Parts: sequence; structure tokens; C-alpha cells
Amino acid sequence: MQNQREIISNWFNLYSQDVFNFLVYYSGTVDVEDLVQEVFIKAARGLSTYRNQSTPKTWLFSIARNLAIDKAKKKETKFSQTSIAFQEEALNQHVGFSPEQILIDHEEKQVLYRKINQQKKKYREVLILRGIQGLSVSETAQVLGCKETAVRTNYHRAIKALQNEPNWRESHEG
Amino acid sequence: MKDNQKNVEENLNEFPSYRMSQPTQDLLHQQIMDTLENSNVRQKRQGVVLMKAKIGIVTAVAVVIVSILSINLLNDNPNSSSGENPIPIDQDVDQEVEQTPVDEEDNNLYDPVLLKEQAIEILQAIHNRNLDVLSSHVHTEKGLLVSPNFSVMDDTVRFEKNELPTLIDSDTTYLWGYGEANTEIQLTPADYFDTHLQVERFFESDEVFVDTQNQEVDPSNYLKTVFPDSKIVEFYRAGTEQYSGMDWKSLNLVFEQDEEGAWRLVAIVNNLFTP
Repeated sequence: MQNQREIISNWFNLYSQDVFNFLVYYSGTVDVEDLVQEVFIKAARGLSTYRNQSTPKTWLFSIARNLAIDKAKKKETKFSQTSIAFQEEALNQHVGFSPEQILIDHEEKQVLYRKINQQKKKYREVLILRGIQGLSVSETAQVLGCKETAVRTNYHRAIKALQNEPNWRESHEG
Repeated sequence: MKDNQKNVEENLNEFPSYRMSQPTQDLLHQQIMDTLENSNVRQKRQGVVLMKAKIGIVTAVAVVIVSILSINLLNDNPNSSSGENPIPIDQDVDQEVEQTPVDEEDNNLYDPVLLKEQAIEILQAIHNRNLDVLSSHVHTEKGLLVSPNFSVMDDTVRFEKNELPTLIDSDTTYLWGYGEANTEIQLTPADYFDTHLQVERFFESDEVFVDTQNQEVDPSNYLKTVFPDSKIVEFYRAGTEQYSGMDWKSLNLVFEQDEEGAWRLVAIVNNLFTP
């Protein structure tokens, strides 16, 4: 039987670039090496609770997503300790993410990426996981901890929402 | 329109991949391995300290037993001097117990992100009716309490860990609790899962609280008083405007540490508005 370090080392070699790429798009910055490191350390510590229900890759993505959300929340809390209302929805959608930091050399993609970041959280997540990362419906459901039907519905609606964005239509139909 | 949809999807697929440079990747790998190595060494040291503490306690207890026997023997002996205070037995034992080191490593095992992951895995397992997986998360000694209301009493339904894998096929009817108008909730496990537990409702929770009191629905922190040493993951769905927010729901997964310090499920408690 492989020990904890061997398993994590193996997973790191197989999936660290995927986790990095996912975190870049999820957080909107390329400065995510620390988070990648934290993902694998947490995975090692939680290995005893891993039940092979999800693949190692989707399990790592799921840890990465929760870490990124936590980090964004902490960042937000620092800045909004004096604010009156805690806007969870707004927080989940944008705060803590700085999309302008990436896709600098891909102007058209950057426009689309901004639109993605303006969508509801559940749309944004399926667009990044299904659309940009190319995960299957089942894999996306494993990462998000939701039903496959929810992934299908949200993805379909998210794509529609993007199509209806005025800037997107203008640049592709005009 | 279809073409447009394809266009959007194609565009998403063509987003560039970001990759770490090889030296960065190597450095991260090394740092992760070093961290894991260090924590392994710490755990081993902790194990040695604990073992020493256990040996200490066993020795102390042995000394106390021998002392009691000796005192009894001396007291039984008419030639011995009597009336003197015996050795303060209780005090000695207490001192030894107090000297047991605090198990810091166990406290460190609590990680909110991992506990949330574990809770999500449990929801998935229940959704898939994969009770083998559910059972693997349950506390071996304490079993699993299941309550449809926000109350845990002596008669709350409880299952042993080894009962769970076959539970879904059981025809036995249990009294899980009381519903509207004080009607009894008497159902088989399969029916209870379908009609009351309904984990699917919590896949899209508005908030997941990990060991954080939800002031909205539990200002008195009731579950913590029932399970003082627990960590609780609460999946919360806020109420809708249609019902003035009264239709909120939450599902609480209660975890306690087992002998090895791992967090194991001990209770699944639903909660919803009660007038």
C-alpha cells in the first residue's frame, strides 16, 4: 500500500498543473502557487476521509474551490468590517477576484471572461469547470457537490446568459 | 441561435491553459513533501509522548493499588501503628492525570475545509443511497443519531455503524419524531430518506456553516449544548420572499472525534421553521 507522501507526490505530478490552471481562472490571478501548495497539504491530511466517490482530480478541484472561496471571504472581511450588510451573493460572485490580472494578451477572451465573472455564482462555476476546464457533467457535479441535472441546467442557462450579453453579441454578430 | 451557442462554447474551450514553470512546480513539490515529512515526525513524537504518558498513568495506578494493599495489610496487623493518615491516594491519581499532555495534534486535525469536504461527500453518499460510504464516516462507538427536528432526545433513532450498510433495504418502521400537528413520523429508512432527509435540497445551499453558530435559526446554539465536543457542518437554505422567509431549511451534520482523533459523523439533524 502506498503511503500518504507517495500518493500525494503522485497526485501532484499528475494534477498540479490542472489545479493551478483551475485556480487561475477561479481566482482571476496567476498568483495562486500558495493555494496549490495548500490544496495538496490539505488533501494529504484529509486522505483518510477520501472515499473514491470522486476521482482524485475532482476531489482536489473541490478542495481548491473551497480554499479559494475561503481566501476571498477573508480578503473581503478585512475590507468590510465596517460595512452594514454582509452581501454574501455579491461576495461569492466578485469580491476577492481580480480578473484583469489574467488574459492580458487575449483581448477578446478577456471580454468574455469579464462577462463570466459578472454571472451568478452557480453559472460562473459551471462555465469555468465545464467550459474552460473541460470537465464532464459528472466531474463538474463532483467538484460542486451537486446533482448532474443541476450542472446541465445551469450550464445551459449560463451559456444563454452569455449569448444575451450585449457586448458579446455585438462583437460576434456585428 | 444554435450557431451562436456553439460559438460561445468553442470560445470557452479555447481559453489558454496556464501552467507553472518546471522550477516552480519542483519547488512546490519539494515544499509539500517537506511539510508532510515534518508533520509525520511531529505525529511520531506525539505518539511517543502519549505512550510515555500512558505508561506513567499505568505505573501510578499500580503504585496506588500496591499502596492500598499495603495499608490494608498494615491496618490488619495489630502490631502496626494505627491512626496515622494514609497516603493521599486520590490526590496522587489526580496529579498523574493532570500531567497527561494536551494532545495538540488531535486539535490540529480539525480543518474546516476538510470537514466541509467530508460533509459534502456524506451528502453525495446519501444521495446515491451508498450507505457503505455513509457508514465509513460514522463514529464506531457512538453510532449515528437521526432526527427530523431540531431536537435530540433519549428516544431519537440511533443506528450502529454496522447496521447502516443494509439499512436502506430494511422493512422496519421507526418512529423518527413528530411532524406537523404532532403527527408521528413513522417510516422505513428508505421512506425517511426520500421524504424527510432529502439531502438533495441542500446541494445548492445558500450557506454552509462549519463550526459556526447560525444566529438566524439557532440563537441558543442548541446542538452545541447537546454535543459540546462536536464540530457541526450546517447546510442552510434561506427562506423565500413568497413565505416571508419562513420556509428556511437546514441540515446539520454533527461530527465528534474518535480515539484516533479523526472526525466521525454522530448525528444528522434536520431543522426547519416551527411556529
